[in-house]
Amino acid sequence: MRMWGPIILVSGLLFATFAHSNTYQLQSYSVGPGGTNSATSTTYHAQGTVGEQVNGSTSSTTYTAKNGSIQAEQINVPLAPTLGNGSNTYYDRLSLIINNSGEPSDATYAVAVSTTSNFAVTNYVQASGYLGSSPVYQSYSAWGSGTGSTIVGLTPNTTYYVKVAAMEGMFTNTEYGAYTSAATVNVVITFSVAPSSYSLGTFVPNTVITSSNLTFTFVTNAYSGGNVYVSGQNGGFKSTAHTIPAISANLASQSEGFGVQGTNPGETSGGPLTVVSPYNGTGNTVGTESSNPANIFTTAAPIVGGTANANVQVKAAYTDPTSGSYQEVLTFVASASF
Amino acid sequence: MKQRRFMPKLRISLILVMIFGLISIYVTGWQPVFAGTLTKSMILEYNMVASQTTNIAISFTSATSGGTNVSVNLANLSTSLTASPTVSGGTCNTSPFTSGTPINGSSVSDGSGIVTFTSSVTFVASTTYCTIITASGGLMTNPAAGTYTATITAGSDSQTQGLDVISSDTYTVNGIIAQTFTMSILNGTDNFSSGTGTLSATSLGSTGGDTITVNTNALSGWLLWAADANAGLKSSTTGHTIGSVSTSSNVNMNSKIGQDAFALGVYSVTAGSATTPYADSGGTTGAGLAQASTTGYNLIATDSAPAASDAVVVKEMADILATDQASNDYNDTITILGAGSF
Repeated sequence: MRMWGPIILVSGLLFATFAHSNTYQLQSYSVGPGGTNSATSTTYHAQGTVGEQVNGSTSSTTYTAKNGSIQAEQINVPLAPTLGNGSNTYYDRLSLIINNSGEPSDATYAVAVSTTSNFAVTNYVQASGYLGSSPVYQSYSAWGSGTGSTIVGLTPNTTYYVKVAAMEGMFTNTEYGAYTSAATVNVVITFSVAPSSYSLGTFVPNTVITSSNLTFTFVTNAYSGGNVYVSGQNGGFKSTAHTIPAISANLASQSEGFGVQGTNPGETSGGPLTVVSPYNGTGNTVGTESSNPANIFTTAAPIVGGTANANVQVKAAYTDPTSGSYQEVLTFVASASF
Repeated sequence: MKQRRFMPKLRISLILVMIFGLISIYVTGWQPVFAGTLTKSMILEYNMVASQTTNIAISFTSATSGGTNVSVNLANLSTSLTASPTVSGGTCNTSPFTSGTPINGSSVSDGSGIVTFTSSVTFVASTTYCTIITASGGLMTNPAAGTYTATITAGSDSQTQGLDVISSDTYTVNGIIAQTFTMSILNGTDNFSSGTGTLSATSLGSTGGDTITVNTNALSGWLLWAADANAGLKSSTTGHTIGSVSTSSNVNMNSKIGQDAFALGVYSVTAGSATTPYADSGGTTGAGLAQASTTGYNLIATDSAPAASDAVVVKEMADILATDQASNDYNDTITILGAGSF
């Protein structure tokens, strides 16, 4: 990081020196008397002609005509770039490939972005890929060549219009070319859990009882996937007289216990969805629960058609009182990591 | 001419300013800041159900360094947040988080669905942070079921989130434990030969003992009763019965040596206790049994709490007269009854 100082320092000194050089100015000599055809100061370059057709342009809805030698110096207006939203997966970015057809190899390009086709409010893609208020000219290779680059920091579910200008040294800067557009997708997260209740009925002590399956669905386009969490109201299977505690263990070898087991994670595509320890046991091995949400299912990538099951298992001890009904209210919530 | 003299001075001044500035950049390590996108940013609603209140947990990974201001824009879900929420990081390595640096918030405000606060730590690029935003009674009330967006902004970085509000996120499971009582007798036969051996008129004889195991979830525990068939040890061959001692008092069988006397004692209990007449002190005391067909059963042991494999060891004791006819068929059949007190 601290190496920037010397590098910028050298650049600054070079700039200070070149400000008084005219060795790379594009000169245009015209037919006609009088006048200086170019002038420089520390802050500007000016080019003038006398005796030429007046510089200017006329346009209609379908064409623009450029007149004069200055217009003739300009390089080709870039064609519309190629935009992409990752086959409908990008919610905060768009891919960008600049079209350099017909442009000189040393041309540089700036990319203008707007959310309206008339570019009423225009931002420009910075070297970092984020949008800024000033155009940044970079070479074709700096924009990623044929592979392209990524415009980032965009708003979900929004159509963006993008156009490109080109430049090759001074006096060659083109207007922005035709635009193309693409839309970011909306952020997606959907989750469901069913059923909402289950009765284990009357069960005997010293025997592990297993509920029928709960079914989950989970879908998200978040780049870093998401998680499903479980928490419980009572920290176990509770009656008025006793709570069978929630534990992470094989209930078959415990005198009593209550827990949750995740099973059958799957997806249509993406993911994968997996069961997180301690909920990934088999048989009578279950995971504990408490009032603090614990991660039971996870995926590290976007997922389509995610599904999973879970069951609840309980084992009562002979010493557990029979008075009243035992109950636990489990809460399953999901979040995505965008 | 004046201009020509001035320009070199200006140039030198500008260069000096530039050099000074660049040296400052080098010394302080400052680097340009660009707005970025938070990654791995998450908002977890502790309650996803429509029209119910919830608090939230957030985590994110910063893209750029230097910021401390945070805003969580929940306006799409609720424009009316509970006043004076608390922003407390706690720990980031416990669920629902997995890792990161906890941040506490100060100068917390909650205007128009946007929680803003100043982070207790200055954000560093590529570092993950977490915190929990709570309010008494819940930070906000969820809107109707559907998918909503919210935005976290930390320093100059931001990211839009998706949140799903659903109709139900709970699963209620209930059940009733059946009333159970099980009792088992280990051997079924308890011989004097496995204890002190052949009965003698000069010493107390006792059996090796038998074990009764009780399991019950009866809230008030269990009870065991005993009765016998012969009111003593009876020989069919000789027609003689070594009669039982009193059923109501604890008898020291050593005091009955040289007499006919038969008793049952509760030798040990893992939980609960023997009743007073049947308490066996060192294998020498107990009480007699009544015939089931006549007087009925006597309570020999009890417990006042649910039992998991409570073990009750009983032994029989006998003294005989020197004149008792010898025989190998002196016997009695003892019946043990048990029940739970639900």
